Amino acid sequence: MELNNEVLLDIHRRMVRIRTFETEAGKLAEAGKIPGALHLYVGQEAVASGIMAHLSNEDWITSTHRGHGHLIAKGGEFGRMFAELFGRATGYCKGKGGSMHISNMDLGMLGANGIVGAGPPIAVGAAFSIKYRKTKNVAVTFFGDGASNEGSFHEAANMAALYKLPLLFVCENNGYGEYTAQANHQAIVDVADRAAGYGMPGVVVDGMDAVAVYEAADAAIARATAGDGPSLLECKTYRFFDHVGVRGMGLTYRTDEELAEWQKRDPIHIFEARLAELGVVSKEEAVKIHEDVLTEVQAGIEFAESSPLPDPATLLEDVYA
Amino acid sequence: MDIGIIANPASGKDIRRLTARASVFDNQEKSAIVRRCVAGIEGLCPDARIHYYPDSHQITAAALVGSELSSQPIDMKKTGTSQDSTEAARHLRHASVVISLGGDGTNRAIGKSLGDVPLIALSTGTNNAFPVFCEATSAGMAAAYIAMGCVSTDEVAPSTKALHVTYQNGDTDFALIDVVGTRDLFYGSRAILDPSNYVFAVLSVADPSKVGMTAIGGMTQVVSDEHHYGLTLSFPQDSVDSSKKVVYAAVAPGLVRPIRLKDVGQIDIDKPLQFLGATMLAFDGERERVLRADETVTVCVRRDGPRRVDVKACIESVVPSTMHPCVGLKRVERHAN
Repeated sequence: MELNNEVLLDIHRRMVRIRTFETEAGKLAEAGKIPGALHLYVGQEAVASGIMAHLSNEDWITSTHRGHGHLIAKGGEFGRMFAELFGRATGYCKGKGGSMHISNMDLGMLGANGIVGAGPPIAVGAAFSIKYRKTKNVAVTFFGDGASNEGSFHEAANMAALYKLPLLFVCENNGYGEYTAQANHQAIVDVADRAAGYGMPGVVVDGMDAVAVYEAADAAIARATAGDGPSLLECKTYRFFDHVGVRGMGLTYRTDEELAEWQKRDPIHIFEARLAELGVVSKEEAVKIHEDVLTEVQAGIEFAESSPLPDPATLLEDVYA
Repeated sequence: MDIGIIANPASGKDIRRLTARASVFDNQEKSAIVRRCVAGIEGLCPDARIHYYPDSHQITAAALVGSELSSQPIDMKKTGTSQDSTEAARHLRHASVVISLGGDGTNRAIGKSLGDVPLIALSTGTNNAFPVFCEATSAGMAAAYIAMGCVSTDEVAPSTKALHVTYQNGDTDFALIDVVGTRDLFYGSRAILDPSNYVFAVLSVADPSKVGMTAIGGMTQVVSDEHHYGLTLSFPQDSVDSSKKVVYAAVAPGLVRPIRLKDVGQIDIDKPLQFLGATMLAFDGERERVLRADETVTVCVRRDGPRRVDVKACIESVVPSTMHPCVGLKRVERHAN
C-alpha cells in the first residue's frame, strides 16, 4: 500500500484520536467517574495506528486488557466507547463489558480481554474462518510481552503456522508485564525470537515509529494474503502511564529517567515533526486536528453521561452462560 | 593479550525477514557462536583477557559461563542503539583484536571508532557484504593467534576501504560498503525496500556475489578492496527516463530483481563527490539521514576502513609453525596452574 499523503494523514488522525481519548478517559477515571480499572494506551499509539491503517471492517482483530487504542484505531466511535466505560446502555456492549471487554463485531473487533493471552486463540479461529471462506482478509492479534509466556500464545502460534493462516501476531512489547520488567519474567529480550520455533518469521519493529509499524504490517499482510501464513511483529514500545490509571512518574517498578528517555521518542511528536518537514501537516494544522478531536471526545463524553444505565431486566441478556 | 567481543543483539531481526527471505539470527544462536569463538581462543591462548560489550541479552556474558578465560564487561553507558557498538569499539582500541557479530550496520558502527585494531567480523546480520560467514571456532583461533603475535596482521588484516560523508553543516558520517540516496520520505523500518526509490549510490566495493547495493554495482563491474577506486551508480527516476542497462542482482537475501541503471562510473580514492538533496541517505543498507532539498553532501572513498581479518589466511599462515613455542608453552603453563 502506497504511503501517500492520504495514508499519512489517516495514521496521524488515528494516533491523535487514541491519545486524546485516553488522556480524557484518564482524567475521568481519576475523578471517579469511570467504574473499574482502566488500562490506558498512551505512548503506544503508533502500533495500533500503523497496523490498523491497513485493515477494513472485514479484517478481524483481538485485543488485550489495554484495548481502547485498538478499537479507536479500528474505527470505534467515541460516544459509544465512553458509554461502555461508563456502563451505559448505549455502549458498544450495552454497558455490560466495560473497559476490558469492549468490542464491536461490525468493526471486526473481537474484543478486549481481561485474561492475559486470551486473544491469540480467538484470532486463530478468525483467521481460520478467513481461510475457509477464501477471502483476502487477515486477522491480527495484539498481545504483550507478558502474554507471550502464556500457553495460549504458544498453542495459537503453533496452529496458525501449521495451517498457514492469514494471521499477524503483534506483540506490543512495552517492557513490562503489568509491574514486572521483562528481564524478570522471561529469559529473552526479543519475543520475535520465539517465532522461528513455530515455523514463521519474526521481526523486531520500532513501535514508536508509525511508519516502521506500517511498513512491517504491509509486508506481513502481503505474506498472509498470499497464503504464506502468519508472521510475528514485535513492536518495541512503551506506555507513558502506569499499568492501571494515569500516574506515570514516581513509580517504584520503573524509573522516571527511563520514562523521560522514552518520552523523547513520543510517537505523535516524531510523526508530526516529519509531517511538518514534508509539508503534509503544518504545526498549526496539527494543533487544529488535536482541537477538533478533543471537541469530538468531549461530545462523546456528553453523549455517554446523558445515556441511561442498562435496564436491570436485561441483566441476563447478551451473556453466554 | 586483550581480545574484544561485540555481539549485536539487534542484528538479523529487521523487516527483511518479511520482505525477503533473510535468516533470523536469534540471540541464543549468537550466544552459541560466541561460545565457539571463546572455545577457539581458550584452546590456544588460555591467558587471553576478554573485554566484551555488555549487551541487553547477555549474549557474550552467557557464552563465557564455564570459560576459564579472564573476562570483564566494558564499563560503558548503554543507549540500546547502534551507538552502543560504536562506544564499545572505542573502549577496545587497546585490544589486540576484536570479534564482532552483526551485519554491515553493526560493523559500520564499530568501524567508526575502532581505529587500527584488527576486526574479525562474523555475519549475523542481513546484508553481509563486510562480515563473513565463518566457523566461529576458527574465528576464535584466529583471534588467539593475532593476540599471541603469531601472525603478521599486515598480511592477514589489511585495511578496507570506507566511505566518508560530509554534510553541508560540517557534520560527518561513515559507511563501509555503500552510501545510497533514495526517494524514501521516512526512516521507517530502516531497510531500503523499494528499488524504484533508488536515486544514486556510491560503493567502496562492488561484489556480485553478495546482496544489496554492492551486488547491483558488482553486476556491472567487480570492485574489490584491492582496487584504488570505488563505484558510482545512478538510477532512472521515471519510466520514460532512458535506462541503458538492466542488471539482475540479489537486492536482499532471497530476492533477485531486475534493476535499471542510468549511469555507472568509477570514483578515485580521496576524490570527493558532491550530491544535492532532497533525498534520504542510507548507509550500508539502512535509512539514516534526511537531506533537505537545498542541502549538499560530499562522499569520499578512502582506504581507512577497519582492518578486516581474513580468518582463513590467518590460520593458514601459522600452519608451518603450529608447534611454535608460544602456543605449546602457554597451554602447559595453564594446565600446570
